[in-house]
Amino acid sequence: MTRTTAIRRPQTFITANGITMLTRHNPYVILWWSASFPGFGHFVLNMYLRGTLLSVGEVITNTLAHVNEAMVLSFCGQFEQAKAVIDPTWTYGYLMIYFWAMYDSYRSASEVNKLTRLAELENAPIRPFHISRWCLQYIEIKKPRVAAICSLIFPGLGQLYNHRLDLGFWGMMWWWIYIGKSHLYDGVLALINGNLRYSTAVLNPHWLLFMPSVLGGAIYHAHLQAGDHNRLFRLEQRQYMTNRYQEADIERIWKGE
Amino acid sequence: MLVVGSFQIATELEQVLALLENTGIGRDRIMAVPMDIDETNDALEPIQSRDRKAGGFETGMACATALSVIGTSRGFIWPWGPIICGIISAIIGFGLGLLLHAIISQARGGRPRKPARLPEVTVLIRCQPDSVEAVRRLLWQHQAISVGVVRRQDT
Repeated sequence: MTRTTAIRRPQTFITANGITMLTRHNPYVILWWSASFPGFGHFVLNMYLRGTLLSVGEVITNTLAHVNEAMVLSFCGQFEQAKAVIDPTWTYGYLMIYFWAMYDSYRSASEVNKLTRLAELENAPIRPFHISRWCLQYIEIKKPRVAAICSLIFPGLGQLYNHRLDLGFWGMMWWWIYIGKSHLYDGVLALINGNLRYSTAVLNPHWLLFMPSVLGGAIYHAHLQAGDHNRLFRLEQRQYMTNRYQEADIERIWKGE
Repeated sequence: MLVVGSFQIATELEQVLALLENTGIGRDRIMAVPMDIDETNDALEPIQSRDRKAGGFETGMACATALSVIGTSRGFIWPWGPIICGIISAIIGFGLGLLLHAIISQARGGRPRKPARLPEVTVLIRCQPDSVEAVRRLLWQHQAISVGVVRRQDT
């Protein structure tokens, strides 16, 4: 048997920042997360740079075009006001990029699925451990429910639970911005004190409307990635067992010396 | 004698094998066999059929997010306000998602639930009669699912 040493498709890449991996997806679910927040589909696909830039672009252009305010007014049936609030300068570009992000993430999910299968069949060695100046990283069995709860209490924590440092701290920073701009927790406090009218008045609709998508996306992403880590752990340990503990002479195992 | 143990894939499995090696049972007397627990590990399955199926939690989260955006928006005119409407609509959405997933997977012929712990690796250890008990205990201490011993003297 001849073996080539060049690896065509590694299944994972482990650095101080976390693990990037090839893994299977449901293209329709990816499509939905891109519709919920442009860039989120790409985050789920492990395409972190694209996800980051698309999601920042979404926040900036949504704010300039007043899309979220127009959405709140439309859902409330105030269509004339919705038309008045939206800024046409930024709306065309916003919509084009929005739909392109959906299309691109759907298309990529299908392709990544094929590449994942090929990488599985190639079965290149998975590196399970990284140690360097700043960090210790390793593949371990994780609990998807715990990951989901971490992101439920504060988006970004579930990503940190999964050892994804950049997305974790990035998500936390944005949640702080949403909290500050939307006054959500001021509203919650007012509700607890029984002041419903003030609670509604203090909220900023534009920034508040980002929050359900960010929260839902962060919970979903953390849950899914924890499961993917478990899959990776299994693949790696299978490789390890096969390489290290199958060299024994089978006759000797069965019959003794 | 031969000690056979079945394990779930876990760090404990590596620990027990490392301990055995350190107590003098060499790698030439140990064999570990990763087991397929799912027939979809079949290498010949076409690539297209291997898209990930969306789970109940995932469908639930997708629907919760969708309904929560609408609920939060409507909350600005509904009497309970955006926060409560947002939370209630998220919970309703999650429930609807779970229901939807249950109906779809039922229609597709739901697969039977698997037990939480599956024997993913079988370990065979050839050892001397006087160390059988120690090895057996070591396996049980490291979360073995089942352990068996072939008590046959052939040396």
